[in-house]
This record gives sequence, structure tokens and C-alpha cells, in this order.
Amino acid sequence: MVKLKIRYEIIKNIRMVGVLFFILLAIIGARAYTLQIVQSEWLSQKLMDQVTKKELLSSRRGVIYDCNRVELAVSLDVDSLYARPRLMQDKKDAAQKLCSILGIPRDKILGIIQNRQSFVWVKRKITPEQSEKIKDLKISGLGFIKEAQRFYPHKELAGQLLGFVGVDSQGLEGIEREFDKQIKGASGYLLVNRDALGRDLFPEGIKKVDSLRGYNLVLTIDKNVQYIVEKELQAAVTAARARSGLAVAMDPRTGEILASAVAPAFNPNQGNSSGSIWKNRAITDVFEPGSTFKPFVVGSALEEGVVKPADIYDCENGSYPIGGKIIHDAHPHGLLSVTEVIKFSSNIGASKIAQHLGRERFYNYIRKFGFSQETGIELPGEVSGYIPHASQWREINLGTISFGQGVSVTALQMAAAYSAIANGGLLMRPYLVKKIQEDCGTVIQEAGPAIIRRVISEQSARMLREMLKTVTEDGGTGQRARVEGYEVAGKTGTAQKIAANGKGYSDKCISSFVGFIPAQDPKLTIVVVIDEPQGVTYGGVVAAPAFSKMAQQILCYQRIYPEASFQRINPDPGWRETKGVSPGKGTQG
Amino acid sequence: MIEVITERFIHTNILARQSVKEKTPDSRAYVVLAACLSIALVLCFFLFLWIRIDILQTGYQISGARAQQERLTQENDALRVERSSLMTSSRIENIARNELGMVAPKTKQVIVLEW
Repeated sequence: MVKLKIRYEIIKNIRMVGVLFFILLAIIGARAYTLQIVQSEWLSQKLMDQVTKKELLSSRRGVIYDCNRVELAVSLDVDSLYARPRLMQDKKDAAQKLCSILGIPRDKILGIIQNRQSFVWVKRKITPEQSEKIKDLKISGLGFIKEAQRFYPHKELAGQLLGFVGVDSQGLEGIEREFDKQIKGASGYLLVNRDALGRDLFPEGIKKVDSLRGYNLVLTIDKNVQYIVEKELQAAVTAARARSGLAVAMDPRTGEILASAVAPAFNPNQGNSSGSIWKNRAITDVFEPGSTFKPFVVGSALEEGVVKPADIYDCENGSYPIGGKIIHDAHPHGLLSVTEVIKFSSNIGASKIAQHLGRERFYNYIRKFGFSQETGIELPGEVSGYIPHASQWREINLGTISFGQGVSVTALQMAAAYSAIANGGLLMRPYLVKKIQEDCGTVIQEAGPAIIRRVISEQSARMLREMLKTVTEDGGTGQRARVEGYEVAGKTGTAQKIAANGKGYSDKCISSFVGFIPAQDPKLTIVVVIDEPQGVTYGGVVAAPAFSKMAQQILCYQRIYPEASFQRINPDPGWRETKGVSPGKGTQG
Repeated sequence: MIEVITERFIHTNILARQSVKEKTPDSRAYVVLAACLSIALVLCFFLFLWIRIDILQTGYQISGARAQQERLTQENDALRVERSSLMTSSRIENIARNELGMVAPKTKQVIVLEW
């Protein structure tokens, strides 16, 4: 009986344990179901997040080269310093240590790291030296992220032309802005697994989406020509105690911009912190061209057969009534030929030629020379200038426009228009970007010389060139533009500036010289504009010497030598053989 | 089938006093096979382990190489920037004029030889 009772108890206990195990098994099963079925996706994702790491492969902004592949703008990866305020212990001590390294006031840093956010930037794009010093401090809660920093190794050189980028490497001005899409590229990523120590592993292979490096740009700018132009422009501005200056150098045969300078210069490494001097005023600002506009009325009249170079005009001894107003010459003249009108820069002579030409024809030629329309240069912010329509011209306007008053132009338009005279009458499209290419050298896009239109015939252009040569000859207004060994063709200009209230003209001037060299076979067109020179303000005194110095150095650099420099020799034939030199002509530009 | 071990035992009637078992033909082979499979399994496991460790090691090497490549690329870029900044025309002109006493040639001083 007792035996049976004991047996019953055992069986009962076994059953209870069985039930208990069954319940436990059911719980485990339910949990397994939850984990494996219900939360499967979420858990898998969580696992992936913990194990894998997505490393951002930042895109590298393309390089901007000059025409000889010298880097003008490059990108480098630098550290940006961030903080995780919640992980920082002694914030005051950290701020104290950081302020001296970063050059930021202690209170400002303290304000940043006392922020309640989980992530704050302390300073972006710090120098490698600063980065090393901060890393040595080993402050918990501070970290670094690599970011691309744009560098302009030549500092101020072509600063306004190149422009600059923002803190997120987006182009904000100049070429950087205009070609932002092509230069910036696209970022990629790399998926890697991490071990317990956070080290990168590649057990499942590498999943990689390559970052696309931005395309490189090859400009038509030559850094040495740019340097010469900038240096001489700044010297002219300083010598004339002027407010500012502009200069553009262009190849009249192709329309390539060789240099474009603005004084005072701008260092794009400093971003837009330097007021508005980052503006490329050669295309964004207009000015009244003054007498440098006279060749266009004469060129138009020659083309239309209205005048010939030897035709005589009475310049009325410096005072000529037109449309109820009186036009004056700077120096009174009597009878002048058309060539002498250009040589002595007679306003009255130019006005009379314009009257003979007529409004409509003059206006049409002005437009054909490219004024009052954008040149199409690959830069942002280009303005078209202003030429009132012929129908709005009164008698006096016809006269004043003939000597460059009442119209506004850009320095680049002047360069293109004078280049048309220089190259035989073809208006070339000015261009700045020669090639867009991949880092490996594959050319994506290539630009070349483009003719916009024929403005005047070759014969008219040749006659006009001959006239412009007289400007730099004895007695001409532009003698100081002469370059030893070469013939220079050009024109001086001295234009009064419009008064600040918009009524009439002030006593401030814009002095300019526009010319090309060598006059017989032009290879270089240069525009020099000096804004508000002090003292003597004539373009022939202020701007022409700068032209001369620029032209002399550029031609020498480009190995364009005058005919007199060439000397024929009869070397020993044996020398030629030993040197492995084949007979031929020496270097000629 | 009864397997006769030797002729001698039959003649001496030894078999009559012994219990004779019918020998299962594959029992030993099974044991050997199982042992071989176990060993192969263990070997496979170690092979797999060895490969995984090797992959891990290679992964670490790739990671290190990538970091080194990144570092060298940055160093190269920095050197290119430095080279460019040393090539600035103003610096070269300054050295040429002030340190080396050079002057730009005048137009008449340049003679181009033709033959």
C-alpha cells in the first residue's frame, strides 16, 4: 500500500516536472518564434548596423590647371573637429586647451561644447598642425572627420577669375561656380565589417560604390602671362594712386583669354571674407570707353565706304556745336585726315565721321562689334553693357557715342572688338576653358576658336590697323605704349565718370589703353583700364605705359621676337652634325 | 555462410566445441568509415577555421593597405600643393632678381640665330 502511494507521488512529481518543462518549452518556442519570425527583419538590420560600417568616400573636386598644366586650384583632405558634448568630462579644461590651438576665444568654444546636442562642429577644416596638437591632447568626446579643402597655391594669381568655394566645397564664384557641376564629382561609399575592436574587416568581400572624382579643367590662362599682367596693372594703379584697375590679355587670332586681372587683387584662399573685391570686374562692371571707342566709328565708315584714311575733316579748332550742345577737343585742331582724327584723338573729327555714317549704320556696326551683348565667356555674372537703340539717339548722342560717351562696355567686350580689328575683321568668341578632362587624361569636352561673325572686311581692318599704329608714333596720344622693336597699334581713352547723383559728369576719370602687338601680325591684344587715377589722368600717360610693360614681357616670354632680333648665321656643318641639329629656322613665336 | 578459419580446426573437431558466429561483413568497415568521416569532418572544420582566419588576416591587411593608400594619397596631394606654391611666379622672380641678381633681357639683347 505504502509502495503504491510512493509510486503515485513519484508519478505525480514527474508529471509536474513534465508540465513545467512543457511550459518552459512553450515559452522558449514562443520567444524563438518572436525572434525568428516576428522580429527577424528588425534584428537582422540591427545586426548589420552593428557589424557593418558604411565609410563615405568623399568626392574629390577636380583640379583647375593653366594652359601649361600648372595647378591653379586643388583639393586636399583636412580634418574637421567635432565634439560629442555628452561624452566630454571637463568641458572648461577642454575649452581652455582648445582656444590657444584653434585661435578661437575660450568662451565661444565653451558655448559650443556645452550644447545639449549630441554632435556639434567645433571648427571645420583645421590645419594639419592644429589637428596633430589636438589629437595629442586626447580629450574624450572630440573627434575628427575628413573634409576636402580647396587650395589656391598661387594665392592672389587669377583670384577673381578662379572664384572660390564654400564650406561644403560648392563653387560660389568665378570658374568654380560656373563649372561646379563638372568639377565637384559625386561621393561614394564602402561597406566594411567591423570586429569587436571596431577595426575594418573584409570577410564578405568589399561592397564599394566608387566616388566620382570631378573633372579637371584646363584653362587658356597662362600663369606667367597672368602674373605679368597683374604685376604691371598693380604697379600702374599704385603709380596713379588710382582706385582700381582692370586688364585683359587675349590672343586675337583665337579668342583665347591669356590673362584677366583686377587690382586690387583677391586671394581666394580667404573665401568671400574680403568685401566685394572677389568680383571679376572685367565682365561684371561696365565703364564708358571714351576715345578707345573711336576706332569703331572709323572702322564702320571705312567698311561702308563713307570715308578713306586720307579724307580731311575740319576739327573746328576744338569747338563744334552739335544738337544744341558744344563738343570740345582736348587740344584744338584744324584740318585733320581721318588717320589723324585717330592719331590725335579728335572728338570733333569722330563726331563728323559719325554724322556721315548715320545713326542706323553706326548702331548696327556697334552691335556687330559685339557691344551691348554678352560675349558668352564661361563665367558667371557677365553683363552686356548698354548701347541705346539708334531710334533713341538725338543729334548730340550720335556725336558723343562716336567718342565713347553715353555708352557702357565691359573690358572683355573691348578686348574682343579690338581683336576683330587685329585679326582682319573677325569677331572671335572669347573663351577661357580649353579642355574638360578626366583625371586619367580622357578629354570630355574641348573648346577651340569660334568665329562669331565677320564685322568688317580684311581691307578695312588693315586700313584701321595702319591708322591705329599712328597713335603710338611721334605726336600720337599713345606714344608711351611703344614697345622697343615692335610696332604697336592701339588707342588711348580718357573718359569722365558720371557724377554720383547721375546728372552730368564728375571730375573723376577712367583712363585706358587698348591695343594689339605686333601691329603687322597681331598676336596679343591687351586692354588696360585704370579707374580714378589722381594727378595726370590721360590714358596715354596712365594706362599706355602699363600696356607697354605688359606687352614687352609677354612677347619675350612667348618668344615672339621682332624681326631685328633674327640673325642669319652660317655655322660650321661639322658642328651641326656633332650636335645632331637639323638645318632649319630658329625658334620663332 | 559459415567461414572456415583453417582446415586444421575442422579436422580436430575444435569447431564443435566453439561457438561460431556468423560474421557481419561491413561492421568493421562502418567503424572505419565513421572514423574517417569524423576525421574528415574535423579536418574540414579546421580547414574552414583556417580559411576564415586567413580571410580575417587578409581583411586586416586590406584595411591597413587602404589606410596607407589614403595617407600616401593625401601626402602626395599636399606635396603637389607645396610644389605649386613654390612655383609661384612672384617667388621665382623675387629669387631671380634679389638673390641671384638676374635681370630681364632687353629686346636688343635677344638674338635669334637662323641658319
